[in-house]
Amino acid sequence: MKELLEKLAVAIERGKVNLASPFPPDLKGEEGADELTKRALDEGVPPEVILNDSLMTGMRKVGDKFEQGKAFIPDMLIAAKAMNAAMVHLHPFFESGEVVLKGDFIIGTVAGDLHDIGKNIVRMVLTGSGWNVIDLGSDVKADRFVETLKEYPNALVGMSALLTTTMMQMENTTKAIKEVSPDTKVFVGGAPLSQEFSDKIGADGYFPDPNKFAKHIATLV
Amino acid sequence: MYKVFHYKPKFNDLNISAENIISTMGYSDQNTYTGYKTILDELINTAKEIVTPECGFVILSRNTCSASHGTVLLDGAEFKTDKIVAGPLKKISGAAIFVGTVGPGFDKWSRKTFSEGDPLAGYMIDLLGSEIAESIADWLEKKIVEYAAGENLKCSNRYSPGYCGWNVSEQHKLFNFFPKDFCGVTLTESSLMKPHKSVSGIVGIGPEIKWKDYPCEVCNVEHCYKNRDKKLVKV
Repeated sequence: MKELLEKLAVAIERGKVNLASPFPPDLKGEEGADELTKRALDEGVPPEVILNDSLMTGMRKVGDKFEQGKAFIPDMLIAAKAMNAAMVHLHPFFESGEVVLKGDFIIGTVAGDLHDIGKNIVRMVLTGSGWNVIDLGSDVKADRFVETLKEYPNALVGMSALLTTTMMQMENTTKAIKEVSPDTKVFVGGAPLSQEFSDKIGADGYFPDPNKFAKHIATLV
Repeated sequence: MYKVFHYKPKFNDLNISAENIISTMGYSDQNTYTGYKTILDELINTAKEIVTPECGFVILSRNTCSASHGTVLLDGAEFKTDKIVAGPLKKISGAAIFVGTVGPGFDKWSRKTFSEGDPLAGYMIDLLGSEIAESIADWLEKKIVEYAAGENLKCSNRYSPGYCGWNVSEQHKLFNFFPKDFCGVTLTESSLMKPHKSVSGIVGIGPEIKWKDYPCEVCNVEHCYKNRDKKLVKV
């Protein structure tokens, strides 16, 4: 069992999605996250063990390399893709409550902004880190964040903006969220932002690195 | 009122290479990116069928433009650009206001790839779009330089709202110089260009103006393609 779980962790870390996947080239023809997860379940490995000991271990390893400058965004994305392939098999266990996720995370690009690459990357890293991510997409108005928060009252919120014109929307949105739910943690990200800006608008933090962000919010659980 | 130049360059004229995009992604070691280069080469081939490059510029003639103390005046319209842009344009006399785009099909391709659950290809397509847009601007800049040379005039480097301390909101004033829907590019209220992968800006023109490199060392924008160009690793 240990060998299988280690192999699955490597498949996640290296972004080996399935048997047919040509990437990475040195693992061509080998089973990927899809087949290995199914096999682990068939062999009776508890889904929570698969999630913690293989999937999240693999994601953490590639995330650590990213922080150290030894891996880059494509490596994170391909790992997240492998993670998603594995999660398909685990999904029924989340629905039944047999496996509990870390919590809910609402994410969206603020009103007026259609840039969603950064937001999508954060979504994938958080999903791979065991969060239930509610992705509101791009051009999301403040009231939509507030409405979604009513549905997921314990959720954390993350907002993204790429333009100096749209980053100002973050202030309105943060205010609107804090008005109805002062204890909700609100985080911001995007190229033109800074910690100083986050402090100024009353948000709870700015994170330029999705992996560091995932580590930070894990401490809030 | 203004002289207008409009072009539809061919994809093969744009010199798109996977290596620049790989460098933007952060890789310098060939062993680590071999697989990604294969994916990128395939995406570049697909892009040839999807991208419809279009670009152009309008000419503001001699003695209609000036610049000083962080402000650039273009035929009566005032632009608060910061010194990084106004400084090198100090000897501006006329200007070319330009726009270029990869065309509307690209946005759909990018969105579709992401929504179909292929984030890696989606990310690479996004970077490829930026690379193509900048290559269109490079191609167009040469046309502007050719025009200026024909008038015995010189050109500055090109500057775009959203970069070099120039607020992106000023893009609306810049677009006032273009004919309606010029090159098919429009602006949202928040100054976002549609199609998304488009470039706009200004090239200063004058008898005494000089081309100066971007002063990236005095700018704090980390994720900037102009800065990227300075850090390009040979691959």
